[in-house]
Amino acid sequence: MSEILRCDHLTKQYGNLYALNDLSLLIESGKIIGLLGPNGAGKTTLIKIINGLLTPSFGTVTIEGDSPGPKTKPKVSYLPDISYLNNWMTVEQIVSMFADFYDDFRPELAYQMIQNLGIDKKMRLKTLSKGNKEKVCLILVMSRNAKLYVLDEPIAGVDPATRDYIISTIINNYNPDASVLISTHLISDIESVLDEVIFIKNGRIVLHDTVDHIREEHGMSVDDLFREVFRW
Amino acid sequence: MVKKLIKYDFASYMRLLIPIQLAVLGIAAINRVVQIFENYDNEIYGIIFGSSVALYVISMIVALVLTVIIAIVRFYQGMYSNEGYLSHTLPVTPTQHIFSKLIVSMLFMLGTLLTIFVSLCIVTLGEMNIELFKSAGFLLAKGFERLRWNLPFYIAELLALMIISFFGGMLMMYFCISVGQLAKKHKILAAVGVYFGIYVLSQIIGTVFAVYISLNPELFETLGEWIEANTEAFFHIVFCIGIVLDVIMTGVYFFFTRLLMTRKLNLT
Repeated sequence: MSEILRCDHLTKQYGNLYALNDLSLLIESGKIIGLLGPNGAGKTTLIKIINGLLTPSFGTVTIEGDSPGPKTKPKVSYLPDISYLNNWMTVEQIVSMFADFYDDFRPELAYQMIQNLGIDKKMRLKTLSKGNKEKVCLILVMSRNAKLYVLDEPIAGVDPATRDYIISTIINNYNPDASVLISTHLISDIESVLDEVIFIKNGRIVLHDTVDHIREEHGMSVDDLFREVFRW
Repeated sequence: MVKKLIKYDFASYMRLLIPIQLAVLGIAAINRVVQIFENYDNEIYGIIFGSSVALYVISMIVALVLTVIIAIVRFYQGMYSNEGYLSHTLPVTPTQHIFSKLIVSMLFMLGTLLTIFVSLCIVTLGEMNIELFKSAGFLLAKGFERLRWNLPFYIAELLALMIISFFGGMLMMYFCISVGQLAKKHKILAAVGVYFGIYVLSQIIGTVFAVYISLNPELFETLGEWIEANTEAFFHIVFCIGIVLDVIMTGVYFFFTRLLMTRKLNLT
């Protein structure tokens, strides 16, 4: 397994507030990793820095040795926690756009998944329901053959059936040589598919371990351990 | 990649600007139809004709203003709103984003100018347009001929100045927006503040220069005499200084906008 993501002493400061505080992290390829933490722990800040959408106050991030930029963008497939696609575009137009810009995008796979959902590709994104729009976003992201998938809260705010669909879409479509970093606080839904977990609290990593080791050492599920670590 | 960006930027501008350009042409057509029923003795006709002319003039101004506003808004939306999450994760450099937005803005400004020209043809259809354009061209050429000035040279200078000024103006807006996004809150207000800051600064520099000239009567007089004796050269110099200054400012705004997009991106 090779190193895909490295963060060294990463710090993001807003005035006196530390969104990330001297965070160091190493992620190897071929893993599904849960980035777990309560709201405001720094998960989204870390993800934005990995994607070059925020500049760290201090420290470095590298993806396969390169800092976030035009060289790393073809390697990282990112799903933000907000609606980020142009609502006036049709599903077909947005699929074409991804195919135009990302060499690793598999349009036939995207269309297959869109068809399976019964979504008409001629429909504009603004006419889709919230759930379907989120599914289309996920399909676009997972139809890439990327080295690192970074999914920010992919299962938040959706019904349990959609949650299952999202998880199965991730599992069935990611490149097995790649790593998947999933940020969430809905641990029980996703625990079964995770290889590793990272607990993040107040911008610092409080735990980075394999799921198997956590179960062996603590004799409890990741969800239970999370509740114990983050108990008020 | 710039070509691909232009393709999608063009589509996003088109859906906003084509209806405006069509509206200008439509209003011009209405104006032309009103003219068919020409009867200036009739008071009601006078009101209808006056209103249609006013509406036509307003539509041209609105189209020009909206072309610029939409270009600025599209930059903000594409780079610093939710859409920025996609734009900045595409395998594209900030330079390519800036070039794409500038090229598409310029194309749509040309499109709006062409629309206005076509609308003028519609308004004057079958009556005076050919004669009007012919006589305007003839008078302009005659005027320059009498002054012994080189008309094509002036047109080339004027066009260069207009194009550079347009790019410079757009890049100044991009720069203001890029500085504004560094603010924690009220990012648009911060961008407007930066714009007024630059405006005030440029006015101060201009005023200091004017005061310096006026406080030196000898320099003022010498300059006046020289302009009188070399009027053509003076205009060339004014154009060339304008072009050089605009090129410098365009370069400065481009450099800092690119720097902010590369090193200080702050999508929150």
